[in-house]
Amino acid sequence: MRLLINLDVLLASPRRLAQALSPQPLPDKPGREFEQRIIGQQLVRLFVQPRRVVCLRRRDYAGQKPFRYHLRPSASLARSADGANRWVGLICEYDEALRVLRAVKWEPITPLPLSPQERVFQGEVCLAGFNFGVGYSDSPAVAFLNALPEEAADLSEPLAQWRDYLDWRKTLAREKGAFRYAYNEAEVLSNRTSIRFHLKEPDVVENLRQRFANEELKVLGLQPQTSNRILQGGFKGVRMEARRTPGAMRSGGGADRAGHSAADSRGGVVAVSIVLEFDHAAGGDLRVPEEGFLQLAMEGEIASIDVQMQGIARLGEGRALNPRLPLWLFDIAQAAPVPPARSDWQPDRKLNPEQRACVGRALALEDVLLLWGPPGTGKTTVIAEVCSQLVRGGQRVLISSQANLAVIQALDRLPRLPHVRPIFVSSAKNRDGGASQASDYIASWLRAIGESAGAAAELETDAAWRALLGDWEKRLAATSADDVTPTLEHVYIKHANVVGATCNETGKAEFLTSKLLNPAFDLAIVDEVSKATPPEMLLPMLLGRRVMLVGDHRQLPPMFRDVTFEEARENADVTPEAVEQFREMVTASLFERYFRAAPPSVRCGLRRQYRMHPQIMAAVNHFYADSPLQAGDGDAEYIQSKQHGLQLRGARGFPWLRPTQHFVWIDTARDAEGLPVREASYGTSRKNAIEAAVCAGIVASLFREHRGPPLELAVISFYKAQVGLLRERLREARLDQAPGFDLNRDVNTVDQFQGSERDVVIVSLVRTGPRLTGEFVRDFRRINVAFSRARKLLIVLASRETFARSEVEVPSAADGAGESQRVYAHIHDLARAAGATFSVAELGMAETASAAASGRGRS
Amino acid sequence: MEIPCIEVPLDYSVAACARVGPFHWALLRTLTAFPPSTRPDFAVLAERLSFSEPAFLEQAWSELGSYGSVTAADFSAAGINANGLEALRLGYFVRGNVATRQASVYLSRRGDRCIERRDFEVVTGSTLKQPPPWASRLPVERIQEALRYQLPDRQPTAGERIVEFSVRWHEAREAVARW
Repeated sequence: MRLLINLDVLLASPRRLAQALSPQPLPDKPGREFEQRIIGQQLVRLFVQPRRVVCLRRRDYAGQKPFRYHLRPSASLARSADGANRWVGLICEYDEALRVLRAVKWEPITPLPLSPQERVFQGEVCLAGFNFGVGYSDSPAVAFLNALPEEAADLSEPLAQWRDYLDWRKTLAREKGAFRYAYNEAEVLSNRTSIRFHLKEPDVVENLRQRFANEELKVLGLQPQTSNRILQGGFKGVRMEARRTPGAMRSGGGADRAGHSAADSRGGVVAVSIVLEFDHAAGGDLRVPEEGFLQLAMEGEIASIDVQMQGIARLGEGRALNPRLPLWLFDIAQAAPVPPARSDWQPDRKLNPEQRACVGRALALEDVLLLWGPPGTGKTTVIAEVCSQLVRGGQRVLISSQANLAVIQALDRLPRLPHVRPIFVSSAKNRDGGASQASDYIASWLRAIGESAGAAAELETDAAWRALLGDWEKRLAATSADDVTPTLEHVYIKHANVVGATCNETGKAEFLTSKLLNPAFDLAIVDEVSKATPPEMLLPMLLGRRVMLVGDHRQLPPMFRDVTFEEARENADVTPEAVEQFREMVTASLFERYFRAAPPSVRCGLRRQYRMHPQIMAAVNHFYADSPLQAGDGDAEYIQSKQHGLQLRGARGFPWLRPTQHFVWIDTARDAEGLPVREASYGTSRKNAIEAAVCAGIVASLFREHRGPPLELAVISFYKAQVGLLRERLREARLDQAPGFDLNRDVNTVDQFQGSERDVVIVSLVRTGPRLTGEFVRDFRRINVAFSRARKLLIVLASRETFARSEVEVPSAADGAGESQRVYAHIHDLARAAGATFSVAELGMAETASAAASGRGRS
Repeated sequence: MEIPCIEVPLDYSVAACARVGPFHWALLRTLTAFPPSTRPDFAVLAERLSFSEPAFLEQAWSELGSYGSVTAADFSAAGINANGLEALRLGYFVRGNVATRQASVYLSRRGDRCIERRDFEVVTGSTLKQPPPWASRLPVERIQEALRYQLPDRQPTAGERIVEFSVRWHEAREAVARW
């Protein structure tokens, strides 16, 4: 047998290996050739001359090859003459094409007896370039390598990468929290939710606006001992207000609407105050020191990172509830195949065949099941059914997700049945979408018991029982908040069988050591899994005997704060090197890699969607070309449920929006007067005043035209600056008073809106000009999310010439290989074929022209 | 502003109370519906009442014992006592000592509402010749409401209820509330 080893990688940087192997201390500057010669001599001594090498094949989750081969000298090898232990082992990858083991690393070792997984190669060992020239390993040697037992992966390397990522995030958070902004006056405004701060240095306004968006904020006084963290609350927005410095001339404008500080006619800088609006403040107490500092409160983010770090440590310590988790966490192919779907159950709600198949497999799974659910296909329905079926059999389920909203939505979708006792666990204050309290779940559960008892009473033949059940139904129908006493709440939480919590919550000490909640679950479901980073995802996975991962990797990947990592790189919030280093971690989800590598039995998918009208679905189907979505069950009832019934008339009285149109493209390349439109840069973000004005006009018309229950409408954009402008225009048009329309909730970035849906959605794409630059607007996942939020009517505001020319890379589901497509052009063509493309002028909105003109002036 | 009203002097008793929760109710009602010989155990009762988990009944039973509403600690042999029957009727358990207090509150002449203010002047007139027609139908909630608005420091504290009250109608007077 002849085994060939290539040392090129090690010889490229020979110093340390030569030092480790040399019998004598190396001279100060030995030279590369000398070092290489030492290495050659010593490796020949260790590996070639004995004609015996101990080999181990270990699965590798971090490198390009599936295995690494660890080679070491046999323990029977005599020590070197001077008695020093200068043994090293070689870590190699097998190059199949050249039939050579390529040494990629070395490690100091001590001689040990043969482990059960190791085998001794007895034959000719050749070191290419030393005792051997050009050649390859012979067939018996290759057969020997292939027959080596497979040792489970060493998790230390991939987990070290996760730790590095978390260390980097922590450093960024600390840096961000280190900035302070001085103010010299503060006043609480009459609305009791806002404070005006007069800044000492107006030049920081723009910087501050960007840094404070969607952050928690704290106010510190000048005297640390008396004013620590006086105010901490959810920051909602900044409004700039000009304040004249003494003696400055009135210039008629102050700070402009973009928030830049203005100069007066004499060139003096006008001082700037900012108004911070809080969603809520601690106890409603907005008292702040008269003079002090504004600072970002990063403690929460740092604590979250620590929680994830602890999760990694728990995995390393073997504390995963599923002992096989470490085996398949980095190699999904190692997961136990899912047995044939169970059929011994009756659904609690109507399921289509593919949903039913997914539930059946979820009930049968042993390690993990991956459920891919594109928008509107009923992922949450499947989750709810799985929960109901499992808890009926006495099992407990954890529902987790990266964000509160997805968890709450899943809990809300659970069937209201007596055997289902859900609870939402959150140590955070109630500020993320109105997280329900335990009492809400308990009251709902009691009413479900009452309904069930009522049905049982009708079937009961024994008079005493019938009377008792009837009275029980009446008693529970009268359930009030007073019925939920602390003791009842205590018992309920202790016996809750569907526990919902964010990924991070499930890793916190109070969750893991709770005396009420047993943090061990028969099934851990992680929803919206594509948005979670691997360390986040791991936290709930550690707590499940079995795991079900649910998501759609064709929607947005994990976020860096409130943007994707790619965008953070474009915004210069993170370095390109960091994104590159953690690319696998942050730009594509672990779920995506799993789904590609998983054996068929471990994955299932949904294709039949119930959210969108078929016209809207057709636009979204560009992102699911290899397995297109289907509209509902193909029945007339489904189509009927997606009718918006709206009609809007244009410039000459013709109806540009008709009830039969469900996907409309408004070309915003030119304004109502036919003049070209230009977007404006706003820091690293962008905005488009024409689109904002057109949007406000359309929204006003839609609310005016709509009859019946409040119109469910949302306006979304890729750009945060545009969202701010849209809110401003809609507020000016008094649309903040439209029934059921909340500017902060319903006018948002696409990224923030993922997971939500509305009957009518208007998407403002903002960009103008001959071509698109930047990855942000060409990320197919973001486009997919933006266009798949509408149930009945999708209106796209975009410059056709800008978007139709640009290409978007859409990877195939099979291998993830990207393919450039003119996605926007195809989507525009769909609207044009349906006669649903219009110019701004055709809309005939008088107010749009004037608003647009003023917007053009500002841009 | 002036509103004609009646000054209503009353004696009322306050005690710490606990609401009869749904599972307390289920147990008390079961004690009255099934004699020990046919009484189901917690597991069967939980199953028949549709919620399956007997822990809710076990917890409620331990509380019923501490409220002194049942005759024995063993559910299979216990009966409901007078306290328990009273709790079923009232919807709450009286848990602590009963304290008696006196106060005068001001109700509208028709007795359908109280003066919903704290600071007002009263000009009292003559005593009533006879109790008003609604005297026997005056609900305890109206008294609690009047105390909350007019005499907040005399109202029952959290966890307390007015368990009994009587109006000294012979002392009641016509009045005018003014502010």
